[in-house]
Amino acid sequence: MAGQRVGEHEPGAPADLEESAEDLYDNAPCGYLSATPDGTIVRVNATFLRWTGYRRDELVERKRFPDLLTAGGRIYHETHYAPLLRMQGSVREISLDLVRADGSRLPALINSQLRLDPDGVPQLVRTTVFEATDRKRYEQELLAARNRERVARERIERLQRITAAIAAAPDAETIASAVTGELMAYFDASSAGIAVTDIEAGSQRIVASRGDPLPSDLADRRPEAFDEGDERRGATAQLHLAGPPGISGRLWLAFGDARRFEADERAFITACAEQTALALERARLYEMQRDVASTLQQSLLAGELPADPRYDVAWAYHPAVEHLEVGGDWYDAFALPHDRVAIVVGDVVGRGIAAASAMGQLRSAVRALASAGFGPAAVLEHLDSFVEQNEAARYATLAYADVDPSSGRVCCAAAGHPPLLLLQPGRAPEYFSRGRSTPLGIAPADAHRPQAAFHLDPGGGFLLYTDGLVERRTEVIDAGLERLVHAVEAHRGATPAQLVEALPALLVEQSGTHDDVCLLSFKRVAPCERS
Amino acid sequence: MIFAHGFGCDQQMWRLVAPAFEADHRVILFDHVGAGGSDLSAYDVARHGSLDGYTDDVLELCRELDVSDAVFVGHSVSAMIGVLAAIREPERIGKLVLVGPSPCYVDDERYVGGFSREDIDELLESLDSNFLGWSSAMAPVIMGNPDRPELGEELTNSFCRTDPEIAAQFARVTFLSDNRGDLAGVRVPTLVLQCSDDAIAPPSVGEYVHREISGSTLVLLDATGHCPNLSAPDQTVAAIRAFV
Repeated sequence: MAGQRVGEHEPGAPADLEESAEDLYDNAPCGYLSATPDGTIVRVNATFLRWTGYRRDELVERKRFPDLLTAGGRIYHETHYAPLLRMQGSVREISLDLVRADGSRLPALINSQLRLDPDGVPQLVRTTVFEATDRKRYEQELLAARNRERVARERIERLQRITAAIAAAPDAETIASAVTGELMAYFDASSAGIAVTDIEAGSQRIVASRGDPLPSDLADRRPEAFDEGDERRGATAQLHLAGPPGISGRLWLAFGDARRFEADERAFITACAEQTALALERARLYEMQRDVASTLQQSLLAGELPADPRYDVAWAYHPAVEHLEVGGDWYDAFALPHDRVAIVVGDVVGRGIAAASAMGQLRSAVRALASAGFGPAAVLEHLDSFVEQNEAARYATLAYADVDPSSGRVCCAAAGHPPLLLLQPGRAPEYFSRGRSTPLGIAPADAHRPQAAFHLDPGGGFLLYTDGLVERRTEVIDAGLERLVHAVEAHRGATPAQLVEALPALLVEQSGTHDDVCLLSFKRVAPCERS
Repeated sequence: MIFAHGFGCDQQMWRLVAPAFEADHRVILFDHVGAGGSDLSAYDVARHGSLDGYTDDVLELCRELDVSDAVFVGHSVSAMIGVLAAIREPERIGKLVLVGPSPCYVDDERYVGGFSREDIDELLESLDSNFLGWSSAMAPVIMGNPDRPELGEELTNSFCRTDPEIAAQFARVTFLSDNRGDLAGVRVPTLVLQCSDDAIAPPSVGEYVHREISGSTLVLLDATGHCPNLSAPDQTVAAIRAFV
């Protein structure tokens, strides 16, 4: 071969080999077939026959092109391929599977060209077929990867949703109900449930159970396991809820039939169980704390108001609807030396145990200072020093009134608290704005708190309240104060008990969400009214 | 006359048929939501998860255009949409022309629809590997100019363009629906156009539809395939003309 250059036009060189159009057609590197417009195959090349395993006489005039497709491919042909070919005259790069003579599939890329006669009537369809086995496999791998990625993403989103839902759940029932609901729906399980061990009683309590009753033999199956089941019994997944010290229990999913648990499904259910255990522990602590705080608050707020024919006093406490923790609103009324009476309403910042105990300390401090003979301003000044040692009581607000029921003299001071509403007989209700200063712990510049006095006519009274009664997030406080005046005016002549009952309903509850409200109404009973 | 296209393409399926009626009828052509030049943002997975949602669309269209006593020409799946619409509001849909109808594509013990559940999965696979005329580069052109179809027409395979997710759901809704029980409820005059050789809705299915809709007329067209509106437009026009 020395001296010969490959590719040049020499006798017997490639150009000669291509002289036969028949060979070019038959052995082209693609399948080639021609069909009438109704699909009947009229001509087919050898490559196509070799690839598909058909004999020429099995196809020509005997089969139509769609007959060589899978059933699904035939639908695709009728709904997409044929209409496109008719409308745009050609179709390119359609991926379809051909069915070989032996029933196996030949993944192919198909192009067709429609030949029209001079009148524009379809005459012939020429189709080339390219084998696309590798390409199809690669495509399917890409699709599978895309699907796996989508499934993984959905799973993460679902887990995030479950975690978010149970993070805010206040109790075990809500948590268990959310988790079992999501798991049932996602895995299409026949039943799902969560049981928590009551450590004191030593027994398990089912907190949530959905779907079919628990499989009767569940207790015999190994916990902490994925049981894929068999033809006699369905699959189950049972997981220990453990980890946090206070929680022990189990989560189960049961299925009507046997099923496999893929690695990512196991991981997902395990992650759900871990999140559930954490949330249950959080809810347990929270419930415990809430019970303690509420008991503490009730014991601190309880106690008889002093009974005296010269005055009438009533209070009301309305916890916020949207908070499950107790707030720091409080009131007090107690007898002072020299036949006087102290009236107090206050509000500690924050909620829960810390707020409840700060409220208790503040209340005791007020009583101690008042009983020692300090006047309103002096009580507040001493409280400023007191809250320096008691972080939780800092920035609390408070209104304190020292009342002489015999003379009607009232001396009052308020630290950061909304103004006292004065209700004198025969006059419109008005706010008493003197004697007010900053919240506790923020002492005025000269460290002296102001106080102010007024005279209460017989039959007159006043109202003390916390800001929940007048504040709404969406408006300025003046609007709330004005609303309170109108509401009180509408209840002229009401007893203190009637007033404290009517006002929250009128001012707060209809606005939907609200903060805690504590209010106290005092009335000096005129001698003629005394029974 | 309302012409409703079937699964796969859009209203251009009617371009060899609908013009023949324009002289003596008010002709309404539309694309189902999700197909052709429709507003894809109107697609609602829940609403369009059953043929009822598509039926709602048709009846809404009738109300909007103040249509009454219309001839509804429905191809393929739209034949069943027409059946549902005519049952619900016969005062709007006065006559039905069902082109290649099938009330149920999947076989069961006593009925031959022509396909099995696995066949439908194969179709979904074909859809998945053929995103006709749809790519991330083309989507904005198509979706951004629904009112300028001339832009769309330049795109190859534009008749069958559709969002892949929507196509897959429409395929499921189309081929997994079973409306056999609805046929007996049709009270309006009905024409069934059946191709002599239809791979999707075989003649036995056309006969079934004809039998179940009392008083209906069955016309067998000498045509191959599922789209006589394209492969045999003259016969299709003649048969509809004789009926209306």
